[in-house]
Amino acid sequence: MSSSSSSSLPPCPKKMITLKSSDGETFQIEETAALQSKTLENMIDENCASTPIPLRSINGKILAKVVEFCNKHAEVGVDAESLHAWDAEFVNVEYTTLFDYILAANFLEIPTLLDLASGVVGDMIKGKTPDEIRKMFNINDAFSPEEEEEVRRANQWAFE
Amino acid sequence: MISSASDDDPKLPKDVAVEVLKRLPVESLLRFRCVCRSWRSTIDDPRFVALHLNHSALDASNWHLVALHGDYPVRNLCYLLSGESLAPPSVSQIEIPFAATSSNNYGFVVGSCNDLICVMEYGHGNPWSMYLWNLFTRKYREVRPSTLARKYLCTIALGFGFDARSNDHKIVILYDGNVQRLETRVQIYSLRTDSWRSLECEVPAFCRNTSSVFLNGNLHWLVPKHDDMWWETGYRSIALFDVVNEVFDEMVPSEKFLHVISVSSQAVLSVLNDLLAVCTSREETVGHPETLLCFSVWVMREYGVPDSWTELYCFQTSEQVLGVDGFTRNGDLLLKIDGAKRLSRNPITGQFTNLPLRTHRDFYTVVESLVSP
Repeated sequence: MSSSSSSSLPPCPKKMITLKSSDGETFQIEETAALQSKTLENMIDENCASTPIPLRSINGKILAKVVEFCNKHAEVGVDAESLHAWDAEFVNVEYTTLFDYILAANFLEIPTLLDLASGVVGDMIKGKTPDEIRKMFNINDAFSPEEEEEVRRANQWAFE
Repeated sequence: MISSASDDDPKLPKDVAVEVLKRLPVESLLRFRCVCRSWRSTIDDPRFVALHLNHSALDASNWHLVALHGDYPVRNLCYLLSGESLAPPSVSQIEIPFAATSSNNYGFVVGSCNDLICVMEYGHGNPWSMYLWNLFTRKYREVRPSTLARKYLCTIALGFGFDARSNDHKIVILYDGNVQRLETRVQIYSLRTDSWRSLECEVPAFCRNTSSVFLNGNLHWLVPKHDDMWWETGYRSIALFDVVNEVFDEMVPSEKFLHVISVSSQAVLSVLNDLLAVCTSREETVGHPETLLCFSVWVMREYGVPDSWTELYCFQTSEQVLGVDGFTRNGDLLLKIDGAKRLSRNPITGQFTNLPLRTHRDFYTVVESLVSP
């Protein structure tokens, strides 16, 4: 947060906007960092960002992480390798937290975060069996055994 | 956003599921149709299929090249080549699910719309059959010939393209009307209606057996020019067929590019970095102890603008190159050499690599997708 932005305009303070989580916490984020979110960019463009922006679908814990992600990705002079390592550490969390990241990134339209979190969940599940998926995600609208057998037969090779 | 069919999976919101699923390989998705009703309806939803294809096409590792086995249709195999990294492309063999009827049959690929390919097969005395095939779901559809096609087997040109406006795959056949005195010269097959219809229109002059390239909604054919004795000597333009509006047109090249294609002994139309590309070759004998082949790769930087044809690079080789296939997604040039062997050439290092496959058939681009034929 302390890095200098424009040396030609020293007295100009950084433009900050305020985000308010579903549980009432407020977060300050630099406008340049917030622009990674298409949703926030639109609000800034339409001058709707002068008062705290309420984000009713994102709680304080997740919003703090999203702000941290945006700040990191707006930092100047971070090389690709260390950013990659930072990202890997960022998504080294429970998958329920990853779901929250995906939902927040989807709502705020942050493609880098959406790609990162969805890709990690994808890698976690792509080799699993349907049964493992149902257990992992607590899915309970499964087929009857006969129906499942029929769906399976349509693409038997994908189970071998 | 795809609407939620059921809300009874508390731990995985529908929007999250769609974001994750659209990044998965086809094999995983076909397996996950079994997970539950809502996953199956998501994966089968045409909007999801389109979303998955768009996402799949962003990643070079989902782009492949496919060629029929040299012994097709006796051996129902094809080669799949993945050109993701700068290393030589990896090669795998996959089985072709539609049956070859007899060893007298001959088959070839008509074209690719990236998601589906069209294979044509014909034999002595029988009308041909065509197959629209998704290599990644292993699903195919047989296309029966029209009544006209059952009578007349003589075709000038074939093409397979995608109509993005009506979301339809189309096959185009040009018949040789002069020989057979046909009134109908063009027929179109629509996958949506699974039927053939005739098209009344002017057809630009074509030559037999030139293969087509589908890009930006148009099918393209290189048009050869002829001398007084009707021998083919180089090329004069690119004919195109607008798959949406179903009209033919001609792309007249810039003067500079026209000169290049008119003196080349061989020119092959292809796609490189989503641009229409032409690789030409001609022999250079003067001043060299052995015959050298000079290759030149051109791209149309701005689609439809004749003056935007630009030479990307050229090179000479003493390899016995018989033909050019086109390009992998990472830009390697594929060359056919003697004995049905293949070489790939890296444009940056200029290095040639032998590919572990043997076929004289052409390669076509395919992208991993769920699109059903």
